[in-house]
Amino acid sequence: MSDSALSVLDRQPVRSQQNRAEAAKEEIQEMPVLRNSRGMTAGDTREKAETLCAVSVRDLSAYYGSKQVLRGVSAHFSQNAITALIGPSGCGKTTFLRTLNKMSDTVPGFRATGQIEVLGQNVNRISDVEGFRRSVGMLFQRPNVFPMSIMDNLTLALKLFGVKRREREEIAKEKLREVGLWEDLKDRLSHAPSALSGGQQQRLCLARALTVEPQVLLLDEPASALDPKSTRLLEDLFVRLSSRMSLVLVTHNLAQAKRIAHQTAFLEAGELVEFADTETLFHFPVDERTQIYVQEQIG
Amino acid sequence: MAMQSMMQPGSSSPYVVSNRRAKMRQLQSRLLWAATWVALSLVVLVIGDILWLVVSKGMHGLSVTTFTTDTAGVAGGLQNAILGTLSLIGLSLLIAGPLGIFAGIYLALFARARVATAMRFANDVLAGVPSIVLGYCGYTMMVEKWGWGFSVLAGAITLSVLTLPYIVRMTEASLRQLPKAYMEGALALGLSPASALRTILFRPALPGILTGLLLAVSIGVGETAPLIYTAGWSNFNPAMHLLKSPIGYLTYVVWTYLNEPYAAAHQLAYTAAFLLILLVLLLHIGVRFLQRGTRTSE
Repeated sequence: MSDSALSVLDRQPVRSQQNRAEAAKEEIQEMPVLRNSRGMTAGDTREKAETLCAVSVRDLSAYYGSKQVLRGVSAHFSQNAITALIGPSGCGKTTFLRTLNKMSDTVPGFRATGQIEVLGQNVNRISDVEGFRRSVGMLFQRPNVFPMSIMDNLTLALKLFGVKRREREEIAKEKLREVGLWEDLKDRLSHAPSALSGGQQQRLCLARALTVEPQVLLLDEPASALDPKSTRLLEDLFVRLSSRMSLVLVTHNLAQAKRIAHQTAFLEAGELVEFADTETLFHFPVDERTQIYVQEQIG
Repeated sequence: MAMQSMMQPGSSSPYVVSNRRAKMRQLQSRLLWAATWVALSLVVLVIGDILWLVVSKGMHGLSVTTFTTDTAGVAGGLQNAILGTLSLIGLSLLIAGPLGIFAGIYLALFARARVATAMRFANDVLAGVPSIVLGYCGYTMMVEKWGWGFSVLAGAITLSVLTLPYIVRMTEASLRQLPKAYMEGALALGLSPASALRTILFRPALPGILTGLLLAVSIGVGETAPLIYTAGWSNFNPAMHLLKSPIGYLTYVVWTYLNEPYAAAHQLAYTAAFLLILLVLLLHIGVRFLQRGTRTSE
């Protein structure tokens, strides 16, 4: 892919990754190391925590009409890590997720107070919502391929943002390879994606989200409609992506959170009950409510 | 029957329905079926009768001269009426089409809930206004007050008001029936609602929108009352003047010429009715065709 395509998308260079990790090694002693169960560490979390938060929320409350769905949530999610949001249905985790990229604002009657910073930007003060959403990708519960060809699905956004045809097709191919669909789909790029399996469709949606090079990826129960094998494929992709972007994962599947998340937040009734690195939250929960939820789900 | 043969004689099972009750149910069921068949055949008979009357009386009046000569007195051809109907409908589609489609898009995607409810109500009321009232309004406003006289434009605008609600409703419905996930996915990718509409939503909604337009046309084609007040009538081909130039149309022939005491006039009326029915039939076949197109594309 040529450099001009990258500059259009204002892509974060990945190459500085190693230098930063190197520099961060010195601080390892002072800062807690975030590991998921596969022993993978969260890339940048050991640097100055305050400036490198992917998502930083202070005293966030949200309402649908008169109904309060989030109560004073404050949390800081590390950059280049997977943060899982768990909790019973209706606890507000999806609302929280959708507030991060201003998708909640499209719901009539929605209102939020408090401060939200995503990638250091105050979300409340963003005027260019579309531009902001380009840096914050999203994957939904059900794969939402658009009613057009596979290639058009991937290049649609790039086309609207003015990327030239050859470049956007290159990007599309690159992203298909990245999500492991290239071999399966290379001969039917002009076909409609509706014939693909659910897992393939979801990976296509992921590839589509990646075409605009987001730095944060919001995942709203992305594997809940998929079979175990597709789920694993998707999880592996998330882990791989977490080396260069920050992922926030809403899930009902506690095993999934344990498998891939570096940090986990437990919400109940709109309240952030506990937030810690995944290992700690599952094995040494401090709050009684967390204990009950985590144990009931496992035992 | 089958049930009875399966029942064991003298069975005391509480689940076995008594013989008499089973028979009663069967009777009820048959009566209801009979009633629905009678109702259906009444409808079919009425439609069949109308079609038979119009086709049998109208068809043999149809000849090349029907399309090539104007009405002359109570006889002649229908060229002026056919061309008039087409220009009235065409012009009204030019006015109501864009207006209705934009209004439908606004209702489906952009309007706030309260505004949308109010607009939808207004739209439904407009659809319910009797066409003769619209015709009279058009007459007092455009023909009289604005001094347009009986004219193509006054007729077309009145037809537009009449057909607008159907276009609005169909456009809104065909956009609303699309999965919400399309719009959400588009917004999450950083598209504006307008570009999401243009690039993603519009194409799958198009068959529905076109269906609305065709329905509007077939409703407009069959209207008489509002046109009598606004378009007047002319024995000559449309004069290509928007104002102060009355124009002929097929429904006028049906309405007026049946009251004339001449056989030739009656023949012309039936022929016009036949043409109208043919046109409406073709439009409805077109609608069906488009609808089947949507279903297979899903």
